[in-house]
Amino acid sequence: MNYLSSRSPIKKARPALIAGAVLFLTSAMTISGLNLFDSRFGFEFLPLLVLVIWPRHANTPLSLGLVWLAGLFTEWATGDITGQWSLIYVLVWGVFRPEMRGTPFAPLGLVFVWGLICLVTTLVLFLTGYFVYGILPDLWPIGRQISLATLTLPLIVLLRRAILRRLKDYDDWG
Amino acid sequence: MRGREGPNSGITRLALFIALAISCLLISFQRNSERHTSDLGIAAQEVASPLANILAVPLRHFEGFLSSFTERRRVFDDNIALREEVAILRERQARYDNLANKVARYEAILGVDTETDIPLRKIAARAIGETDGPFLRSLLLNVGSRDGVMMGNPVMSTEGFIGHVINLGPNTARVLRVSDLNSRIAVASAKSGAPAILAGDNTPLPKLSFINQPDDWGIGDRVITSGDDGFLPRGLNVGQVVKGKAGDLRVRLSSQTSPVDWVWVSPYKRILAPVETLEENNQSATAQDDEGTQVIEASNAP
Repeated sequence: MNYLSSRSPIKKARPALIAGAVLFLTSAMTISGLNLFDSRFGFEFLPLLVLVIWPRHANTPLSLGLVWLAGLFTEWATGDITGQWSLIYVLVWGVFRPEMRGTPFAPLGLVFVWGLICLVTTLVLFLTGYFVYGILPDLWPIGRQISLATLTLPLIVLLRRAILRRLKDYDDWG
Repeated sequence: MRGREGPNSGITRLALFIALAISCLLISFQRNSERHTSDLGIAAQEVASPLANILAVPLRHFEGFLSSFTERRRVFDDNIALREEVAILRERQARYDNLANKVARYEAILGVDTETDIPLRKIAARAIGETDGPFLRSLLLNVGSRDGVMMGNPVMSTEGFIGHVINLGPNTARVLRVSDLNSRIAVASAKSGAPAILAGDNTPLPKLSFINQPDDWGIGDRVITSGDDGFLPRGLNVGQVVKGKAGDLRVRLSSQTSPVDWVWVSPYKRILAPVETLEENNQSATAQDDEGTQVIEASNAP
């Protein structure tokens, strides 16, 4: 697909379904975490990595529905505020999905987009938490979650590249 | 489903807007309301727990591998310190045995029972998930109602009290930690017996509130559960009193010192308020009616 093409790509259900399944898997992982150096590093930001590398050719309404449901699933599994993570997932997917970006997987651009996603997520967590509980959030756990996810980002991108090389329908994922 | 919708076509924008609006609506419903879990929440918890169970094994190994380096570095120093501690504790053990015998004799003479009501049976569980977010402090255990866990049961680690069960599935239980914003526990000073409420505020040092006699509380006093709420047994070790930055009294939790892995649940049956029988209710209602009629008659009398 040419980015400057006036025609949008054909949207397929299969990439959306597979990406959705991976998103649900990482959402289920959010109840776990790592205890390192007397601190807890939660996995709450890992599903956002899946949103960053969402297939460009994935069917849009199906993707949106899966992303929203995965957000709800995260909240239910972790016991967080209902609506908080679904809002974040939909917002991140809607604004930062690869088809909205010029060069979606160029390393520098990816780092920049990831930084923005972390900023937006922190802001939404801050505002929604303050709205519901009336207190300011503890920013250290968010910082630890972001640092763990940031360290995982290169691995995820490399893994994605390695898997795509073996796929016949490479163009559907692009 | 195939289509040739652009990334930001009208339909996509509308669908996005609707999804965002529903999420905002869901958030707004929870403002100033109590945190409760729906059946869907418990179902999601049950679905996610097998994965967390599988993940827990390599994660704990990885944590163990990393911590083993620091552990090895400290092992000689720890060994010396532990030997000294064992020598002190042996002497204390002998004194404790004498005191226990003495107290048992006094109890027999006076005919009193000072035993705590902590159940002897314990349900061992693994904390397969831990939420330590900006607003939430909770644990997910791999035991549930099928294992005999009940709502409100206290959860302990080797260090002390961690929290209590707030929602329960057949195979999983979610534990609200003492440090969570929504946690309120009836506690007492082990030294003076003075009661207070331990209120979590998402900091590592929860606040002691509703203190009637501040003189009964001193820095370093051991804090235990008082059992006044009827939900928790008396005598569970909670932590130690420390002074907060604002000069208020706070508690350094015993369970906060190390990451939680294996825990146990005490299947404590909560103390229920006595229920009046229907007949007693009717009788008291009739008596009140009679009194009311008499009062009205008396006031109407010239």
